[in-house]
Amino acid sequence: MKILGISGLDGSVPFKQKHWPGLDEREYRISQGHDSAAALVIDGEVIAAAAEERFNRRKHSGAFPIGAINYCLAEAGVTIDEIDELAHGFDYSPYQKFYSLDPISAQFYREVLSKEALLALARRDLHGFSAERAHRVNHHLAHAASAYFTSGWDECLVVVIDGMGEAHCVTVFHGHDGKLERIHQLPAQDSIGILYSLVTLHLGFDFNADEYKIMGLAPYGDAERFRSFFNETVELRADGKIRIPILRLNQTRDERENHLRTRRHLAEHLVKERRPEEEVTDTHRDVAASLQACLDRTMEHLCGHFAHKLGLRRLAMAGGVALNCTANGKLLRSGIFDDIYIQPAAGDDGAALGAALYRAAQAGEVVNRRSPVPFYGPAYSMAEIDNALEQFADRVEIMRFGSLEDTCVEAARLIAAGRVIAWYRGRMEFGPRALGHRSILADPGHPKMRDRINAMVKMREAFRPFAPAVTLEEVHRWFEVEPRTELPYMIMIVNVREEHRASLPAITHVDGSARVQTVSTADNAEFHTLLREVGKVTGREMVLNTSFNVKGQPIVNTPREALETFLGTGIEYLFLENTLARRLDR
Amino acid sequence: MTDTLALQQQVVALFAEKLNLDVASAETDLIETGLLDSLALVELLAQLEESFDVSISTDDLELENFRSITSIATFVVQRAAVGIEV
Repeated sequence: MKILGISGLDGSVPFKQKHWPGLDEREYRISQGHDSAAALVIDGEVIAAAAEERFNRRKHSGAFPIGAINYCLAEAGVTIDEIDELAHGFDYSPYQKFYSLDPISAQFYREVLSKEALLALARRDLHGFSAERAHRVNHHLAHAASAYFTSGWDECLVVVIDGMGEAHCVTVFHGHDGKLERIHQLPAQDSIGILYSLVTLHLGFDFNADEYKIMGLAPYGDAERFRSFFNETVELRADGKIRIPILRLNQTRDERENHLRTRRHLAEHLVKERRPEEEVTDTHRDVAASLQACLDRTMEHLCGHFAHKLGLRRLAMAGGVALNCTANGKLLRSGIFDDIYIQPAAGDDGAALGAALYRAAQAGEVVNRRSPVPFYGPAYSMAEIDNALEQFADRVEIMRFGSLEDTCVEAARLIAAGRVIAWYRGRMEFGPRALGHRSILADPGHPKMRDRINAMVKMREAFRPFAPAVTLEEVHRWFEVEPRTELPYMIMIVNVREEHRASLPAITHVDGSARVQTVSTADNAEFHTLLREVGKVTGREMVLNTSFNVKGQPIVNTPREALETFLGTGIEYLFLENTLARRLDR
Repeated sequence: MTDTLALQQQVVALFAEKLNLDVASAETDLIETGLLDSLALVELLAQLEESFDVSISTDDLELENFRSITSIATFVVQRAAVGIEV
């Protein structure tokens, strides 16, 4: 079967803008259905997957993923008529009556959540697509399927944790015998994910977008300072339940829509609201630290309870909260599990993949194999790359290399010389991380490198560290892990070995941690070749690997976007496959 | 009758303790006052199922049954009398 999975809720943000017109811009992100994507699974195999934001160039876009869908179809060489099923990673049909409790919710259901709304979009954008081919998959079930069916494990604990799906924030499954058996679920009113997002918003950042920045801020703060606030706020119950009473303070429709009373409670009992333009102070850092520690505790409590209850020592996870690499790393080091697998597109983009995999599993087609490094997006031919280069001929000079090896030798030389290079090749990554195909690379040992890249490229908040990519062969040399520990998705925090922290300033966080990516010949051959070459020159088979985009922009997709972005920054060198473009205005 | 009154007390307690909702009286219109929104109703059903060992399918959900604490109690008593649905 050819199954096209999709995620996102087109119309969700426009609806909110229409019915709550006077809000602060940042409050519109308090809504469902962002991060739309499409994924194509044929006979149980993942053929293609991509986030819509990479095509419409709107970060976190929740629009109907027609760009991503068209890409997936083109990659497989099929037309929409040949698709057997369209599987959407949301299923609100059991909740229709619940939404009829007030007129605005009833309208929201009709216009955004209903099957009719989905079919209207399909009719609009996928001409001739027939209604009986559309299926819906419960949101957490889609997340769970994305993790379980790519774990390579027949049996494991599967935990889905996000802000909320249709009505729940956590669902625990026992994955076994090719099935997902639901064990437990927690209502959205007790969502640690929503709490984390609300504090993120309260600290002046973006709800459901910038949580990882708060995670990055946390190591600078003192987790003890607000520990008692968070201990009281998040109750960890003996039966594995979580209770967050302050999320229930909201009584009116408006209060619930924007969590007004909860945020007022934060202002009165935690910290005054920070506006985005205000300075980040020690108090904010301490709040971030205490919040992160609370999340770490909560994850351990939740996952530990069910691990013990079911006697399972393997954990597969998905859902937006599973992108919190710090909590993931703490969970791994807790010893509760022998192994933890987090599906790399753990956010709602991954729900598209999960919806398709779930339906494929229902048809008995899925072969449960550990996910490769998710290079599921488009690659571009040399003809397309050359075409783009021609359009910038007056701004760049070109050098061509005859082989990957020669390209890597030159790239390694530049990296060792302290240069920042953009590295664009192969199929685009699915999920938030750049893993060696749409990356900006530099020497992790260079003392000024973090500031240089922040200033040159990304205009990021200064407190955010960069992340390292290292060969599998060398990971244990530089990081506190066993030899050949595989961490290929950059979704887990480990500690840099103490004796090396001072010499790896660009990728070592203030608490000695790093969000490491291991690279092997088996899973990421070309990147591995580059790292080997870098090692010959620098003595470390490691680079700093950050995503190829500027602040607020989705990761680059096409060669043209690569060139435009490159030329709009201070980066000096862009490798497009085995071609080097150097800017003329050096 | 006694069944319903006793259950009513339990439902009031459930609202206060499990749902963190302060309801003025057993006759308060939960829907009009906005006390019961979609998420609260989802959770209420889950709590009712757990506390009173009844099964409530979303298919035959009648909102009128959840208009007030009194009506909820009546509904649960009827459900319990009918027995557990398969």
